[in-house]
Amino acid sequence: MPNIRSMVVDEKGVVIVASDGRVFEITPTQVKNNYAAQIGTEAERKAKTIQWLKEEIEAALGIEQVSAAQIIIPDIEVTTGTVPEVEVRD
Amino acid sequence: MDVLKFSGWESGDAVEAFAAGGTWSVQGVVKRTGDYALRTNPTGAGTGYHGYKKMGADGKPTPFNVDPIYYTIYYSYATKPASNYEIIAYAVDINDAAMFYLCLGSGGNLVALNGAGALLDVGGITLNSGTLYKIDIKLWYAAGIYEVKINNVVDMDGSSVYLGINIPGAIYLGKRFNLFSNTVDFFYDDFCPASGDYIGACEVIRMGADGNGTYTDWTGDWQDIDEIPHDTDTTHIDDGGFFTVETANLEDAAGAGLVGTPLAVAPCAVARKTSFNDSAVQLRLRSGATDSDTANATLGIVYTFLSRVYTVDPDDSGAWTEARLNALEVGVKQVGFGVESRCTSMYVMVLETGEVPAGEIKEISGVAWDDAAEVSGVAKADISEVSGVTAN
Repeated sequence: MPNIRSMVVDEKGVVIVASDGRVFEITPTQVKNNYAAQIGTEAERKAKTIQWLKEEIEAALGIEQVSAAQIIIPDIEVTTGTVPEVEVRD
Repeated sequence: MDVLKFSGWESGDAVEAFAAGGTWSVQGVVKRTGDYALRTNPTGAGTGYHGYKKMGADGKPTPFNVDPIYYTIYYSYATKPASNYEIIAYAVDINDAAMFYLCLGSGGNLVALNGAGALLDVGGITLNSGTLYKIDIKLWYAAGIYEVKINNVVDMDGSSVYLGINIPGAIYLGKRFNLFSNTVDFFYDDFCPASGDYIGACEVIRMGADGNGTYTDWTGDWQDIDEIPHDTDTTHIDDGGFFTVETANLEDAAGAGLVGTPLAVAPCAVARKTSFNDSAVQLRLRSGATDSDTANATLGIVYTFLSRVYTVDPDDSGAWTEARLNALEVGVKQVGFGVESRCTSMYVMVLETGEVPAGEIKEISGVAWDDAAEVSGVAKADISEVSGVTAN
């Protein structure tokens, strides 16, 4: 089901190109800044940033191609803002 | 032997997969056949993979649920692990639990790990960069048997090994997990899981829409569903109400690239609902005067890939032929109330024997392929395929 042509997930950030050519891009700095703006415990702040990331992907690619509920991001590295893993699944 | 699923990534994207993660692309630069192939090229500790199951009665992915299972995949690499090994294929059971890891080692050899990730064997055949290989994997959970072949030659096998706790359900192609933080660059094309036996030499072609079909009840026409990869809501067809049907004619098989014998056919559609009401469609294959529909496939707001494998022509239960392919139509049937289903792409994939690539030829006229410098005056390095030559 993933309506996606390509994905890059590395230390420079995340780039996803949807089937229709729309592109989502984010850098570790943007992830780190979002985490810094969150309040709560580290786990709560991580969870909020991960949810924000999922919603950003959905908004950029369109919910008709990818919904936030289909995106799996197990963790983020808060000191660098690196996103180690992104998966899109039925 | 029964074809469970096949893909040549000819949709131009990942819709045929049930999962995709890490760094990968469906690209057309490095490929074996058709227009596209899968590339997974994660760096360092990154991952990159697609996951595949068979298509169920409703046209959606469902676990293979067969034992034993026989996977065939054409594989090459540009960058192998610098140390130890990394996963190139990861087989799981019906509950997504580990069964078997096939890895590429730093020496270019394959490495097999059991369902617990323990080393089973190191293959004796060296795979070279930029060279295409047909890799066959047999997994028999109940007997604890595995087998790995490279270009039809057994490279590793064993029995009474630990293959997890249940029968085969899915396979991931690519670096599903990081093992030794190696950068890799892998390519995959023409993939077919089967039951009973390996499919043998094969390739996948896509027959695209080129005209309106027998049924034209939906709003829009074939030009709204012919983009590869699909263009989501840019162009599409919308249903015309309860039980309405839209079908499209297809380009001829020869024009689509058919060069061998057809082995299986899979109608494909990418559809979604456009309202908050429940919505469902059936995927239709029309062969001759016979309409074959899947069970109801419920749709969500996100576009869903629907497909179904037909190993014989449903019109007469005979084997597929080029003439039968040329009489096909693909379509969708609305089975929910209201006008709420939308389709953005329809086509038919065909699994066929193809021509025999040079890499699969053992000998020509009694001369071993590896010992030959040229064939009929043509340098071996310049030969990409030899028409009409049977492998082995």
